[in-house]
Amino acid sequence: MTSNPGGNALKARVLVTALLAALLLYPVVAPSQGKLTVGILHVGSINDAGYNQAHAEGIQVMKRNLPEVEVIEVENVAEGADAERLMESMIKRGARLIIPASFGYLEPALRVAQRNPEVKFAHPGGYKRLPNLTTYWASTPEAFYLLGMAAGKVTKTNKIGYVVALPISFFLANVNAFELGARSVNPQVETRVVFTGTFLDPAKEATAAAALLDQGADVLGVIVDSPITVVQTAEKRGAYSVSYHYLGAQKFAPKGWISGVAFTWGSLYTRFARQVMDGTFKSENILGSLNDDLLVMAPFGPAVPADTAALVGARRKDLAAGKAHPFTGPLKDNTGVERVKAGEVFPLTDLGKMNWLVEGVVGQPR
Amino acid sequence: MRLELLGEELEPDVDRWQPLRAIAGAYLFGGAISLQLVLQTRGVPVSPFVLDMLPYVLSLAVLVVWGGTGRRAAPASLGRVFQGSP
Repeated sequence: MTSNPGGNALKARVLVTALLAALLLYPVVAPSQGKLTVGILHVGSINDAGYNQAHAEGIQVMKRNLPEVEVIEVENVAEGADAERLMESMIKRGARLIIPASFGYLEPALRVAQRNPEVKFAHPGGYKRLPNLTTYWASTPEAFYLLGMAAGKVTKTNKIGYVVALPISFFLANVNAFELGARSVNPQVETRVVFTGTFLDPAKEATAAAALLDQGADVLGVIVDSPITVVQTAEKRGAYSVSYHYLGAQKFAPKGWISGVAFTWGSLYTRFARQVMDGTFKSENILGSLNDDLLVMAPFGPAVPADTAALVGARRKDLAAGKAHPFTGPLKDNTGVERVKAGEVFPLTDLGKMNWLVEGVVGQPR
Repeated sequence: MRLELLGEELEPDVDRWQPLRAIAGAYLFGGAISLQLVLQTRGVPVSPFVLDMLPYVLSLAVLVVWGGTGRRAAPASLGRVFQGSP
């Protein structure tokens, strides 16, 4: 065949090189057998005492429950092409369950999931699914209603300030539920809301918080990724605060802490990992609530009297039993338009359509 | 005033490129951000999206009024290739 005597030597060299390359690459490309690797992407810092730390702690709980699971965890990942590349590289490193833990990772995750049907994905707060991409979140208005009750009892000036990222319907619903809860125990309460226009900007949040306190607010609430700035600003000025996202935010307000709404993803992440390992993972639309273990109320701080705590506890039971509803009519918005008729409720499944702020809230919903 | 660098005379149009004026501009921009947040707490009936534009609209206005060309533009030397000594 070949008249070239060096041809065989060349072939042998190519073969040896290929073998060596295969040996070197083997541990990288071969899927880990019997053992699961989970990849998680965070949009911010996992020490934000907020959105990202709640997800990171969920992963810690999963690791405690399933010590054999390996985790690849990356913080501060930009939403877009960076996230897509990182997910692909996690898959190359053997990840078979990926949690792209931010709303903005939805489109990149959908693209990676379509290319890798053998890998499972769990995305929080999204509205699209694939056979290998499940979505999960927890419904928060009932918890915000209870926060409002506690805050409505604690406030002395009857003015409460809320620092909110953006006027999107789910956040408006939380502020509305809060105001309605506060008004149910104290009809004088007015909630002033400021939108910072972004999910994390401590300078803007500090300015907004200080401006609200200057306006006479003595309780501050917060719906941004990290509650630290607002909670600390309130504490420094001797005001009270209600928090969001993560239980550990309480340490930033030892005196002024009222309570908070927090996500606890540990049991869900453990469940996802088990499902992937035993092959029972299926695409679902999971929506937790106060009635399961995905959403919790933080312990009350020293500012909350025992009778208020008991009152909130009793209403919580009514909400869980369906005997009370945070959006019970008649409800008007803050321009006087009737939004929910007497005897009706605004269904919690329609929160995406809540584009108004309820009477008693000072602010512009769009 | 005559300015010279490496034997070349510089055009004396650096008067708009002063750090003190830059600091004043930064305060104007930051102040506009604070102002729009304060306006929201006062319940001003304007969309938060429009209020959020305030610092940028103000910057554009400053550029239109004081930007200009000639003596007001960036120093012409910034557009020249720098050749250091060998």
